[in-house]
Amino acid sequence: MTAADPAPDPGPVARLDEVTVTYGRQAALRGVTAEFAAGAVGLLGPNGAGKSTLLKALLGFVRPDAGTLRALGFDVARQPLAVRARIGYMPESDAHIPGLNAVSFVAYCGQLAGLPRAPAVQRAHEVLQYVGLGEERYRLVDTYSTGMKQRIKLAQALVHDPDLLCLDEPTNGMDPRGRDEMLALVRDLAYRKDVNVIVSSHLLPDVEATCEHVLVMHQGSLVAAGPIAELKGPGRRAFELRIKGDAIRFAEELREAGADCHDDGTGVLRVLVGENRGARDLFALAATRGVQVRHLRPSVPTLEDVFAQAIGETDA
Amino acid sequence: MSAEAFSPPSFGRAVVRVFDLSLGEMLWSRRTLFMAVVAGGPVLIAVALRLAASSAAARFTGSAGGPSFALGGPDIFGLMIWAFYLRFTVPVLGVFYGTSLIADEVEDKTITYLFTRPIPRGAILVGKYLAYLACTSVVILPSVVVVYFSVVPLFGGSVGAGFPSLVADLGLIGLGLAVYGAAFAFVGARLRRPLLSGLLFIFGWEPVVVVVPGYMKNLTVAYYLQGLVPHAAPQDEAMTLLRSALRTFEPAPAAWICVLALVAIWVVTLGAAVRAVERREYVLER
Amino acid sequence: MGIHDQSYRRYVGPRTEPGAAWSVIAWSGIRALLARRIFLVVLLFAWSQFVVRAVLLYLSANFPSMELIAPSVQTFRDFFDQQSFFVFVVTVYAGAGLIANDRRANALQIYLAKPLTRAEYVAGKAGVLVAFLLLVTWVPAMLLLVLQAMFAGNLTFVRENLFLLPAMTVFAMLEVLAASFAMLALSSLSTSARFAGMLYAGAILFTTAIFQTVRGVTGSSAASWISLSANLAQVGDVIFGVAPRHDTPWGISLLIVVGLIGASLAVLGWRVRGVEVVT
Repeated sequence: MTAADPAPDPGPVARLDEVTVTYGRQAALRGVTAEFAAGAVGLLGPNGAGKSTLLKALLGFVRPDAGTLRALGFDVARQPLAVRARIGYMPESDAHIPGLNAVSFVAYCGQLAGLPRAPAVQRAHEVLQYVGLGEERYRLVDTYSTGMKQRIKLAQALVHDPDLLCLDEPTNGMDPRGRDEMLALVRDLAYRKDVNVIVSSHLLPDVEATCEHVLVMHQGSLVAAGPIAELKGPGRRAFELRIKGDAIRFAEELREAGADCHDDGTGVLRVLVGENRGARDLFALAATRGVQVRHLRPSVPTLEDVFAQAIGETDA
Repeated sequence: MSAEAFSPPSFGRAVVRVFDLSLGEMLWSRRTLFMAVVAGGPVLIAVALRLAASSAAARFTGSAGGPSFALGGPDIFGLMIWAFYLRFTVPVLGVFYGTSLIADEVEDKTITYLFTRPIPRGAILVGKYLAYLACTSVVILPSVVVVYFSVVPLFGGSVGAGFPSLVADLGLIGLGLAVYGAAFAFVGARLRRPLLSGLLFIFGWEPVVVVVPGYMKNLTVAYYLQGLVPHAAPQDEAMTLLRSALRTFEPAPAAWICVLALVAIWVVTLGAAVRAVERREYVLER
Repeated sequence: MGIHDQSYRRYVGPRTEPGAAWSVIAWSGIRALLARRIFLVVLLFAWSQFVVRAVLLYLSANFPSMELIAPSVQTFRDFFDQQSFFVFVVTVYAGAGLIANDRRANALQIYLAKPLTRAEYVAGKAGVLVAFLLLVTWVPAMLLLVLQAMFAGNLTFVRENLFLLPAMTVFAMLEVLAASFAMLALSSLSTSARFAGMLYAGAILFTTAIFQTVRGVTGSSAASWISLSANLAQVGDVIFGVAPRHDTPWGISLLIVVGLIGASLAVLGWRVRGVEVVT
């Protein structure tokens, strides 16, 4: 932090206002306006939705063609160094500084972020211990496995103690146990250590397991945003339905009747209805349309429903 | 499926397969662009000389170091063969390509795909080496021919009379590419930093050792290649002057000795490269 | 007795102001190279000329019969000339991988996600090369001048040739900056240190071979502007006040050297980015 930098404004940790980013003729972000609340926020979207571009714009790697970005109260375009001093970034791709062992690498990153050498080395040891690489800290990073590389990417993002941590696909290539441990670390940081976290992922369970808020992106646009609990719809009920007959047509009829409905890809319809409606209404509708219900199971609304609904509405 | 039904390809067939695969890859690589520039340089000079010769009554003279003398087309061609092709192009391409044969695959972590095929490791090196030879010959030798037909007719030179010399030059360049390529294939298969070692050899070791009296020069390729040059080497540098002064005491070896020595270096270094590839464990993580 | 918290702790210690990261990058690169034994051997060889010349200076200062080897401006010019081989070797060895290796390991996004600018990153990488190149050019040359005064027991030579101090400094900086930025620019174009080294070596050797060929054919060195090293040599002669060795006007040679540095910086500005943009 420099003495010249003014104190950051309270409020959302990051804010985008009509941000457009294009690569040549390809628009990666199309006039995105969004706010990242404090705490853990998930950035969801299929591959190519613009999640990584948004994070890179937040870090100042790409300059928006239009719009403004603010992070931790600073204007990204005008005070990029002040922003980056407070942000920790874990890139999606395999990234490290070649020829260094883990301690040297993480300490080096700490120094680059402004920590004096001795504290940087001390922090490197602590952070490596925290991410579960304590036993492997003197090994060359080049020789690490994929899972270990994910952990060290988190360590280098944490070493300078950022106020905002941007994690781009943090569980990529990790085995189930490693994935659980990584998600536990993210939860710990967000809820016990007061570090604001943005988790960019195309894996819905990862976001659901770590975040309270979510932003859903699709084709460069923001299609849904808010607390996950709210987006799921308080009091809404979900059903899994299999019918005999024209499922596509029945899904349309369900939507016309006010339910949210999408095919999960295996021929099962996931139907979300308001709190005053239930299985009886579904049976009644099926009866009037001459559709035979073969299977009906109550379920709970999930983030996948929110995602599918947001993406589906955009495509429609 | 029975085990007897499968028989791995022979060494020769494996070499042909790898050659086939590597040739296309080499021809369309970034390195070929560099080689095209290298091959195009003397062609540009030749074109410039033709233009200069036709636009004015130009007459070129030999440069510093000796008395000025009028240069004819064949002299200029000989000078270009010596100064550009043999002293620069051949060793540099040998280093650049030879050291990359295995190092490229290790660096790109693709050597695993080759080493896990049911073919001898040595065949991979030989196949890639032959592809290098074909690739460099296809680009460099036509450049020599173009330069020959552009430059030799200048100032009364005869294309027909100089033709045997062209054939000898082409053979010499081919031999040089083969020998330097094999030597640096060995360096590339054996050392971790082959490029620097190669550059030190051709621009540090060879120029110095070749002018030192005694047997040291026998540990170079340049010494034997020089012995086969059909053209008089121009005296354009202090080092060349020194070399020619020392040569008055030490005549160049006979052509057959040079050829024999070059073939020996070729066989030994290529064999050593094959052996190195067969035995060495390549670490891909770094 | 307190129990040490082994989980994540917030950092409350001091932080340095942004703007010093280039020195962190430079020091890290210098330390990494000094840890390589082969590089130390290269450096040792690069100082061999210094040792020989120091002995000659001693002999000329202490034995009147050795006047033939008495130092002159040309002695220092020749020193730089002969060190250019080691400038080439050190540049290829130390410089080829400086950015190429980072690009291969996607390290640029790690660097540029920290509070440092692209210019700082380039300055840090250049610092590594500049430090070692000055170590084999300017530092031994200056030491030779100091040794000359010490062996002679007077400052007569230094006083008479005081311009050598700025001349050696200016020429060393020009040579070192041209080599450093050209190598870094080529290194930024590739993800392979070997290929970057080849490009640099190829550019230096190819232009020199073309120039030598043209000189051999025409008998004139007016085409020395083609060769990067000949241009540096030409400018060096003018800076040291000795007769220029080539027929190309020195202004053109200087323009080409400065142009090379400028073009290299432009390439670096284009290639050193936190994100690979494919359009």
